[in-house]
Amino acid sequence: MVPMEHVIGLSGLLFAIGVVGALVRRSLIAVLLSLELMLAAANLAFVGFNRVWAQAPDGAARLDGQVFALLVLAVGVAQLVVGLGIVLSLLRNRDSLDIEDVSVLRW
Amino acid sequence: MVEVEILRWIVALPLASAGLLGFGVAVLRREVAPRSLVWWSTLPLVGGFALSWYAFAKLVQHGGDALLVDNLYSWVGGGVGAAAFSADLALQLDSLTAVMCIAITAVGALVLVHASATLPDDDRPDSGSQRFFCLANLALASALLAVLADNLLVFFLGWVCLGLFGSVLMGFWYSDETSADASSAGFIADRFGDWVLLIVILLVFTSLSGVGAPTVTFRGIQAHFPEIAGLALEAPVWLGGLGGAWPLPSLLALGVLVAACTRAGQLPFQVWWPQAGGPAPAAALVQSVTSVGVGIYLVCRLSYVFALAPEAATAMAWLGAATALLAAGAAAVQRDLLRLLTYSTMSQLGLALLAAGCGAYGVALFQLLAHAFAKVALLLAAGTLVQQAGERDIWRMGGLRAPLWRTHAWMWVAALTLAGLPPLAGFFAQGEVLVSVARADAVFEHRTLFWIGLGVVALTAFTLARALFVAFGGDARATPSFRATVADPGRPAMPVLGVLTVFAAIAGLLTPPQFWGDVLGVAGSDSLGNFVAPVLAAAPFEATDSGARWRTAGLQVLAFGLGLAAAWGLYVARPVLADRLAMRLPALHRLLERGFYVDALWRWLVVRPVRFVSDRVLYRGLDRNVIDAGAVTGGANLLRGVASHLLKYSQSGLTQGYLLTMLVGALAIALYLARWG
Repeated sequence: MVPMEHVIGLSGLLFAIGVVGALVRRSLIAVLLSLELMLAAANLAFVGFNRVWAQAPDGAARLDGQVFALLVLAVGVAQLVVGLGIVLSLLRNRDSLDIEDVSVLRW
Repeated sequence: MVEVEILRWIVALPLASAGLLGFGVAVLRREVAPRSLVWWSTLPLVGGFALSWYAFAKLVQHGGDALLVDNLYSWVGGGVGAAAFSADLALQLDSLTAVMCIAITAVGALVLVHASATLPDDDRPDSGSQRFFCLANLALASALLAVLADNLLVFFLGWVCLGLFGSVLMGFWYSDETSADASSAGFIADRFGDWVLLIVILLVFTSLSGVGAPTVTFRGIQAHFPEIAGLALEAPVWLGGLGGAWPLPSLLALGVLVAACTRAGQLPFQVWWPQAGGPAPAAALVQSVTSVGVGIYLVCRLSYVFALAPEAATAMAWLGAATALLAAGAAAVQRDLLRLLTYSTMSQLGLALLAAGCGAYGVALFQLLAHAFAKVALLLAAGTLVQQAGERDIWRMGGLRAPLWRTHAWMWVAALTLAGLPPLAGFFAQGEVLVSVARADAVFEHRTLFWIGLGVVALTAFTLARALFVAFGGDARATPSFRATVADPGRPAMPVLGVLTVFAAIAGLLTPPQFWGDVLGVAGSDSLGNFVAPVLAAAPFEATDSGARWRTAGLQVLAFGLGLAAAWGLYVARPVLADRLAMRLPALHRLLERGFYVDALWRWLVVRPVRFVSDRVLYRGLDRNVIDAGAVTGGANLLRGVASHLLKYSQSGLTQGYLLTMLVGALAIALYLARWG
């Protein structure tokens, strides 16, 4: 069985990559991918921890972590749909996907 | 104590009428047809009148010192155990209240019927009889609530409303600036009275709580008053401990006196009265049984407080005498008919307070009622006169004897009643006042008050006779355009005036003082005095012997005759004499005509300082510099500066900038939770 430390480590690594990607990449699609990466990291942690606390004190099985993972997947897909919709319409209107070009809502 | 459920309707009926009429005129903007308006406004009062008589009969049936109580619901309550306090929204009726209720509803109904025929209804924005009837019914309902109140809180409710609606009625023609200003001044003077009365109520309540009887009901206060009569209040430090400890009854009595003076138009609170220019029916209501009546009622209701506070009673006697004399003097030289009658009201009410100050509270009530009916008749007739002549100045009327002969005749009857022609009501009332003052002379050790009272009798006769001689007699002096249309008002104004005048005239004969009853051979003739006696504090004086009574009556008739003769001599027989007299004594004439400059006194004492402080300190100092420049504009400028020079740069429009901020925030929260969570 994979030790818990490895799961948390991988999850943290994935999340860090996602954060850095979201902060430094200029392509909108890459930023969206990085966001997905962060969600995946969180999902990994959920599923991993679910294994640790799979057994309730009264012996019943616990699935809370896995349920959360499914929920996050669903939300992530919805977010991606909206995000890709924005990306497509940007591409149509501006012919560029550089995130720093989309900064008209400023002072 | 008898539980009943009728008393509430005496108040509710006029209140409902006022509510309906007010809703119609203020919300629906639709007026009832003038023909039915009189029914809408008067019938509830007639109902209240009938109910008052019914309650009166019930009271008599249970014995004269019984008490009817109508408890609606528990209004205020709190505390536990010995400190438990509750005040009910309750009404009570004893003999004093019964008399006041009957008088208020009767006068109210008659005045409103008269007003329905004579109130001008033209296109001015401030005319409109429905508004008048609504306000009049509100004032009457407040007066009824005040006299029916079972405790001081309910009384205070009625009292405050009465002050408000009295002022509003007197300022009914609000587009007339003088009238509106006088109404505002009256409102402020009344609020001062309310404030003093509130202090009295709180003092009564805290003192009674101190002796373990936390109550504000009138019967509770009366029952426990001897327990707090010996208490005294330390004089406050900021007064330098003036006079050491102040006896509680004197403080309470002085407070009640001040409050009553604001309502009854006594010195020095009468300042707005002469200027008030409301319609004559409004003046008739305010100056008879509503405002004025409730003022005297309060003194009578709390007469046991005055009985234990001889200094306050003496102050009341002197204040009443001073008002009576000064107002009678001022009335004698007025040109404005309504102002003249108003000064006369003040002087007659001064006599009532004088009698109360001498310990004769029943006499004060008698004087109040005798004056009320006669003065209502006079004011209503004067309203007709002013309307027909188009003038308030009696020197610009004249020549009205023939066209207004009925008004003229009724006015003479009412004037002679008021001035004290024997055996009409005023004669008995003023005679009783003089006798009670004479009885109290032993206490004052001089006869000044008695001579003042006698002087007031002479001046009243002079004033009213002068007004009628000048206003009706001589050649027509008004603008000719009015001549053609001058006529007595028709029904129902004339019959109402007749009923009022006849009742005012014979009212004294219905309940003559016992001395005259003995002369006529009627036992227990002073039915009014005997009826209310159980409620009032008894005067601690011996009965006057009949020789002194005859002498007093003789002096009174002499004074009356002298006043009448002087008026006839100065204004009919030798009209130049009056002008010559006024020219010989210009200072005195001006002093009297301006009402002893009491309004100027208030202007210098209150109005100017308040204006100065408001304008220079509060407006220019505080409002403009601190609030406007500092708090409002300054605050806005500060916020705008910070926002436009610092905060706006946070809005870079860069998505990743926002993301970074979010990350830093999330890390900060995580750090906080890890360290202190």
